[in-house]
Amino acid sequence: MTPTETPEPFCLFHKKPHPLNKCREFRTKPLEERKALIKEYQLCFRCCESKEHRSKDCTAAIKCHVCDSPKHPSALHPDSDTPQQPTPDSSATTTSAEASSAPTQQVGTHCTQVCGTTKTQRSCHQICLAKVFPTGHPEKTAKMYVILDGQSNQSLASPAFFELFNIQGEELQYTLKTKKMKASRCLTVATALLTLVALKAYIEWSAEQDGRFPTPREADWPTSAFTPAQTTAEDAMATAPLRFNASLQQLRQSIPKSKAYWNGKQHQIFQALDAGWSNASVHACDASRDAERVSRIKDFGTYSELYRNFILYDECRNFPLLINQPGKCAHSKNRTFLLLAIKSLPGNFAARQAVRDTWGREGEHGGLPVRTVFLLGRAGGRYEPNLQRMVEYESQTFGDILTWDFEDTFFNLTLKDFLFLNWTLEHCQDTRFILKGDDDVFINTPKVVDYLSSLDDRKPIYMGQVMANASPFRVRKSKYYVPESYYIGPYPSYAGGGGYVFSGVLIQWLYVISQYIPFYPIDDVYTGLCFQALGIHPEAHPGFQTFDIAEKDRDNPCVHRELLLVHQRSPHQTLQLWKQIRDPNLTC
Amino acid sequence: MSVGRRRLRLLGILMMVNFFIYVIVEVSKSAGQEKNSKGRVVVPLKKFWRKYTPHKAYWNKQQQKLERGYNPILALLSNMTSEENLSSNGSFLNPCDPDPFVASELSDFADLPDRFKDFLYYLRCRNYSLIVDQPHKCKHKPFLLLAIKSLIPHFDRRQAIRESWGKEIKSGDVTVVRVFLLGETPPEDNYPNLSDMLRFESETHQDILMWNYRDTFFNLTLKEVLFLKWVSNTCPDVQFVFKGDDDVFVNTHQILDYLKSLTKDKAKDLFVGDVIKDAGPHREKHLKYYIPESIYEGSYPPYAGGGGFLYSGQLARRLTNASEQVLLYPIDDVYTGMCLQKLGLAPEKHKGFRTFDIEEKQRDNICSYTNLMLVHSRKPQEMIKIWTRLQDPNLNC
Repeated sequence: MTPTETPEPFCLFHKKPHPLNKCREFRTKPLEERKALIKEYQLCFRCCESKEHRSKDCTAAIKCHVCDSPKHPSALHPDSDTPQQPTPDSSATTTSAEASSAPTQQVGTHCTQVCGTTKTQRSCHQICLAKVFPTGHPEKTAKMYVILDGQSNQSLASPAFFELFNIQGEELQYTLKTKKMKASRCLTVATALLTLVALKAYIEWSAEQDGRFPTPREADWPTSAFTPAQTTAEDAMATAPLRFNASLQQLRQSIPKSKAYWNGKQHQIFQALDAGWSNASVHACDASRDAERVSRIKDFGTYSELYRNFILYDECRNFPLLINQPGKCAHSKNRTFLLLAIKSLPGNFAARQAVRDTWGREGEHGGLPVRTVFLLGRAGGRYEPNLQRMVEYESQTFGDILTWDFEDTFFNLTLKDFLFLNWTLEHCQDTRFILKGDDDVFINTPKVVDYLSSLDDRKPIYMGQVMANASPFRVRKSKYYVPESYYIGPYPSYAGGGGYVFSGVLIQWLYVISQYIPFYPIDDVYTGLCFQALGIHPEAHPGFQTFDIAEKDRDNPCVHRELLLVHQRSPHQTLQLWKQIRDPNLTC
Repeated sequence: MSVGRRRLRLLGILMMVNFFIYVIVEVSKSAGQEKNSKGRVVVPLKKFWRKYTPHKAYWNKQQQKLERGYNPILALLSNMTSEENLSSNGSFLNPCDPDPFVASELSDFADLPDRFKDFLYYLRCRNYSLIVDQPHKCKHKPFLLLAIKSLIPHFDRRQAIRESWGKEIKSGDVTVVRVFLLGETPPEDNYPNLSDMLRFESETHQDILMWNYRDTFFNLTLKEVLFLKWVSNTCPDVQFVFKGDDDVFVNTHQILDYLKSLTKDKAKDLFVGDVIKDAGPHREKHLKYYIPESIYEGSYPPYAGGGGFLYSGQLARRLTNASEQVLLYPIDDVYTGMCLQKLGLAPEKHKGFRTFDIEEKQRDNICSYTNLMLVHSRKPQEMIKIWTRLQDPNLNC
């Protein structure tokens, strides 16, 4: 077990022996995606170099070479120019790109060439890091790499730059090459290609500017639509398209009509709604019918097996419950105040036990009943160890497991969401609030209950960490990859799936409206689409930290005491933090 | 008169015998001198035995004292010196109480990470008891015992091993049995309480061994020592033992074929694995394998990487005895290497043990697993997948 030499630092991105922390291309990716990659490759989250340890065991001296911060390594520098999470600046519409550029740190003096089809001259430039902000808005400061070029009379900039200053640009093919001081070969920087992809996405995006989702603040709340339903399920189903016509039409506007598979499917439903709804035509769960339809996806063969299966069966919504907890909400005298619905996997026994032992313990918080259920698929798909008997025993012991007969994969999380709504309708419909989260989050349940009980009863909520103006990931390796032939267009504002909370009165309407929206492979995006269709926009609460908090605070009970939810904590950390924040002697 | 004559005769005979002996001795002496190159004698320039030099590092120092305790002559000698009183001060105390002297013997003790402090406080404590035992595991005198180091929360890894390479076999003369080696993860250390689930698992599968020590990385050595003791007591007739991690893939059939092909001589002292030679302690603080200079000095003996190695049952019993003469060392596979060294043995390298994995592009090719014995590391799903594909009768490699 003790290697004589430590493995070479290795860039998982290029499969080349430069350390990830020195990889600039990696740094151009959105932080969320970088974290996902690091997680996928099981690298240490702290030093991003070793697979041998976890971040909690990591004692490496780290320093970010971009901003000199000792709190994160260069690979996790949060300030990347990315089109995924841009900071749109609507107030700076009249500001020209009068950037005040203040070089803060010499990054490199490698000789760089800008070569292209039109510009063939070669010249040497210097690259440095600059702080850029619109005139008069220093709070919008962004850090960017600047190529200092003495001769060019053209400006090239990344899409994020355009976004920041609201400039319309035109696409230009260019290749950026850097030349090492000593090596004579010209290294083609893949960043250029990536930037081109991003540019394309940006142009696509800006062309659809009008169809963008309204921001949460503009939204007015059609509260009257959510009065607790007096109607039957059939009535609700039948009246929903009328009741939510305005928001459905808004959703329709925001989804581009394109050849992409999902877009086509959704617009087909909208057309069916125009022609008077006929229920049978949509959710047929007939793989052969779907097979004929997927033949419309030109590159279906290049999709991963998981993706192909998702698409082939995306209309199947009826899966039997293998393990039920029918009395979950019945046995408390009072109406359930908060239902914690935790997405888990069969093998995560330790994570579930940690939740039970801490923030997920059932009982009353300030007299308000809190219940917990864990949502699972079948244990033991193909090549999966068969843990079904263990799960059954666990369910008998603790009475908090729901298991449906579907394979528990990442793309089936949407199905899990839907089946949970269905279950809640039947067994826990009168709960005041539902908190859906992952089993590796830390939830400050007493604080959540306190906060929720202070809210206005009449206004339904959908609250969490809000992802606004996001769009599909186009990087094949990413877990969140969505092919262009599957979906084109923006995502609605949605609350990150690590943990969000919504009102119980919405269950029925969410269930009904989801009949009109085809399943989407990313569960929290799908939930966002459903809420969008109901005309409800997510509310951001800073207490939800699904991308985790500053590294130095991750073990700090004082910080956690003030949060509502944070992702991600190990069972061990969860138990420790829970003990600490409940310690009466804790002084902050 | 006759008596006097008889005495004289006897004296004469004795004198002649003496003379005869003298002649023989002289002849042989001169012959011997001729063989020696012209009468020169080799005199060593300095003492050719190792001089006793006290070590500076704590572990080495304590080990030296332990060795003297097991050396009958040195033990006698040191009994006469006053120094002995110092070294044996620990022996009056219960070895499982925290050692009260260790903090003062290491100058940088206060600065050591907690895991080292814990380890040093309980360096001499070995008598932990079995909480979950499988006393009848070996009643059929198994050919091969699979012992897998696991941790309580790893239910999925254990199940995958049961369903793949760790299947128990009983066919003809070959019996393969399996045990998982666990310690405790107590709630005081902020571990979730999984005892209910573990009890159910153990009752269902009858393959869990659990001792009441804290299951930490440094305590893997305790796991090794306690397991060896268990083999000697409960499984003394086992022919071969495989010991490895719960995140490896093992080609059990390949191992069985290899074991069956061994000659008796080779099988007796078999110890094969991925052998690491000329290694020494890591000195970078952030590494999992870091050992401070104040705790250990010198290099490591050759040892087989702890991902998985294979040895004979006979050797297991000898190792059990040797382990009593080696102080616990924080890194378990190095410790096993030290015990082997004590027996005058060294592990043998076998190419089939790939504790550093195979080439990335070969990992999806099932044919790259047919001739392997062990690969580190594989996820539960991967174990079952590889195993299933290896069993395919149409497999063509």
